[in-house]
Amino acid sequence: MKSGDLFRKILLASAISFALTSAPLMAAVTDQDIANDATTTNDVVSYGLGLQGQRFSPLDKLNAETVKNLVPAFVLSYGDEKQRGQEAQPLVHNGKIFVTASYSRVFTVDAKTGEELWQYDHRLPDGILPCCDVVNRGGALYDNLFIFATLDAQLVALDQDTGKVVWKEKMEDYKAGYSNTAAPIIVNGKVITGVSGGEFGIVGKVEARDAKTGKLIWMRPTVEGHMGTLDGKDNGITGETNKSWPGDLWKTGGAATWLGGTYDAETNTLFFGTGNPAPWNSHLRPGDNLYSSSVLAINPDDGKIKWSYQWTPHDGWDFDGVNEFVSFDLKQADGKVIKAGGHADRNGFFYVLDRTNGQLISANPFVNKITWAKGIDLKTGRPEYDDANRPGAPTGADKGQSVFAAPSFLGGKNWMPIAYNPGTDLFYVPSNEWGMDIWNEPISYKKGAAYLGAGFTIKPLNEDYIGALRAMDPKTGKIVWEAKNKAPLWGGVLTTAGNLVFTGTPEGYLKAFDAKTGQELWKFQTGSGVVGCPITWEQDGEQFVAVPSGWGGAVPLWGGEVAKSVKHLNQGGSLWVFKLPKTPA
Amino acid sequence: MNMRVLVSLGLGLSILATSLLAAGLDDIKNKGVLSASLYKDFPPYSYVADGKQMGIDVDIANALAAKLGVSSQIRLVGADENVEDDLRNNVWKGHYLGGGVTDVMLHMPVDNAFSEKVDKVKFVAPYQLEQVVFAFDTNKVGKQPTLANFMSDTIGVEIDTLSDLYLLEAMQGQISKNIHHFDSLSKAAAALKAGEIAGVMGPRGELEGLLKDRPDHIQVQSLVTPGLARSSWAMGVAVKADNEELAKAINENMASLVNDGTIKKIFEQYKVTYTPPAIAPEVTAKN
Repeated sequence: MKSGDLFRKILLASAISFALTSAPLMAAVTDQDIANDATTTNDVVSYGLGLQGQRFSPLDKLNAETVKNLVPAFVLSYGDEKQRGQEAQPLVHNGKIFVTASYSRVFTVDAKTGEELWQYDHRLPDGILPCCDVVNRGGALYDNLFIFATLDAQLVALDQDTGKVVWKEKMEDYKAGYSNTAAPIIVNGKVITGVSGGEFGIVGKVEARDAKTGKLIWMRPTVEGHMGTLDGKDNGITGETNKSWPGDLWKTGGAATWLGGTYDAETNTLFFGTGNPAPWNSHLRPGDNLYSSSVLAINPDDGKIKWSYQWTPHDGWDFDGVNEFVSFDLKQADGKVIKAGGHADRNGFFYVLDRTNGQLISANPFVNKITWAKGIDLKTGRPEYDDANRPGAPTGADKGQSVFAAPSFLGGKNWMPIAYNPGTDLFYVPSNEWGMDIWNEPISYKKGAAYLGAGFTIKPLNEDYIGALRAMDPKTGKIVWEAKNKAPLWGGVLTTAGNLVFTGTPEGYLKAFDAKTGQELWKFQTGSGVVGCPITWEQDGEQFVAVPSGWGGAVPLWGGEVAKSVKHLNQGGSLWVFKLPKTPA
Repeated sequence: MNMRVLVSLGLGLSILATSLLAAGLDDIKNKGVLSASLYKDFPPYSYVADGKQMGIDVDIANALAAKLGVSSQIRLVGADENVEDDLRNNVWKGHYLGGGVTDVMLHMPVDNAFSEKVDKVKFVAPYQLEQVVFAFDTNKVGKQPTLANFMSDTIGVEIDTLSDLYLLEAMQGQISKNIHHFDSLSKAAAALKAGEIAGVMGPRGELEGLLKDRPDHIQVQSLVTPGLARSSWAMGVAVKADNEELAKAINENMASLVNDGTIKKIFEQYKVTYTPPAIAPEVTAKN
């Protein structure tokens, strides 16, 4: 890559000369740019619009009054037949929009004209059976690089200007069932990633690499008993070996970090959620099964765990605990401010934790029906289980008791990120109201052999809607407003200082709501379901909004009654960009 | 939640480019090729050794093709979360990442209750009865062990199999602490040979094949397994449901391969005990 190096040097040189004279137009992305991403308005250089993941923009030209004038600027089609599940969040930098697409693709367009500048199609090996769909949730910008993870569990760094591969690192063996679909984050020059994989035989981990070279710096496993590393040397085991697992199950305990993580600079802490434990049936693994279905607070400098909190100890419902942990200032009545974090779990509870130590502050339902627990005990921080509603043990020929559990394993909220608005002091949660019948299925086969599987059917809880965008007050735990949607919500949320909340619907709309009241103010039909994450930025004095469109993800894969509400929806693959013109037409 | 997504991924998808198309009987005869999906890295049934496709299922597929008067084209595929997924990926729909389908897939259960759940394919031509058994080290557990031995002795399993889930619960959970999980049965068998564990639980064909050069102190036999609902099942061939002529031809030709001893001979070549299925493949009179 000699020519690439040369090009990079020229780029850096020109960036320096610009910096000496005037505003840096061609600057490489720096740690400072990423640290300031939440407050700078002319770019979006990180997943979450700032590493805390608040998805809040201070822009207010576009607001509850002006949003009616928001019009399309341009649209990019991803082309070919790979039209499936566009769950990404785009990034904007240096006059370019970067967006990942299903099947591990990347598109870059000129932010002014919408003209495609380059496209990268990752070559996927034959015969892969990737876990968890073919979506990709986004990339990270650093220096002159665009870094993203692929279905075959590689981390790929592309030149922002040419789309050429600068470095490529194998994160895990795809043949062993590993994959990756989450957006990496960059913290002080390190690219931080999790890993996803099939249910069995894998162990989750968080890894930090040198963002410029891809070289591994530290690795932290998420299941107790496994050794972490720092600079190639042992760096202490996670937790205490075999404290909360029977036999050798900790060796294959699951707890995949498949949704990536967030970072808080004030406490210098990474927050990574972990998936459910293996095997699936909780009766086979008595104990808390640490650190499955948890959040781990990790020091980004050395990969050591600072604290942990387990959302669902001894998870028996496949709830996972991967959903994002969003740092925010919890303002108390007496004027005191607690450094807190908010999290809407699959299990239906909205948690507020003290992010300096992991202490539980509050946990309140953000969905209408929760059967697995009666509540979360604020003293112990543990759920008060309803044992009658735990799926049964896989005993012999019996079908096992069928249990109705709510939320369903797709969660009160799934992967789609929430947003926090410091102006309204509200969290905006894309939630779904559904439950599941779940039972042991003795008549099942795996790899040609008899097997003990689980049967399940997802059921909507209401006739007229499944999805509900909800505003949660983190101080009271109360739902302040909700906007219902017929189909399940599966897209991320954006909120702005213009008193707006944006999110998409499977029916194809990008919608804007009044952040205080929930009143729907604007919508636009994109032609396919919106399950991606909207962003906003300012360009030449005009405010822009972008969101991918393309129906897919996990919802259309499920049979039963849920499928009926989404069966007619067409797949797609495009990036829609809108703007508020200086002078409305 | 990885498991559930994986289980049903693709149900709502349209097929991408298909390089292989399942063909009717006439098409197969015209093309001169029968395509078959078999599990990869699955000794002694289907695997690659010295760059060559080998194994009991490979030989059976070849024999079946020869009976039909065509050559065989064998695709070795990875196992998905369950057989329904494998059938969707390889027989009736094709994987969403491409590759298309094959005419048949071997090593498929022939089980009426299961067939009722899977209406996209027909399960025909049962050729073998597979059974869950134990391999054990007589130096460690003696020559007449029972399941109770493994309350104090170690036992290996392939992770996330019937044997694994059964042993985790068996004897009121008293065995679970002694289970060693391996990502393949080959590794469990190697650990048994190396004296690292006292026993292994798994399908007979796999265990006998993997332990074909076993010393005298390693034995393979069935033990009483209280609470295990099914310890044996018939293996056959899956064909796309609307491909009736092919299903009939496969059934008839497999019947003659079973009856003339060809199948038994193939198993013997790999030093695996041959147990014919309870239901022999039907020989339908030609009309």
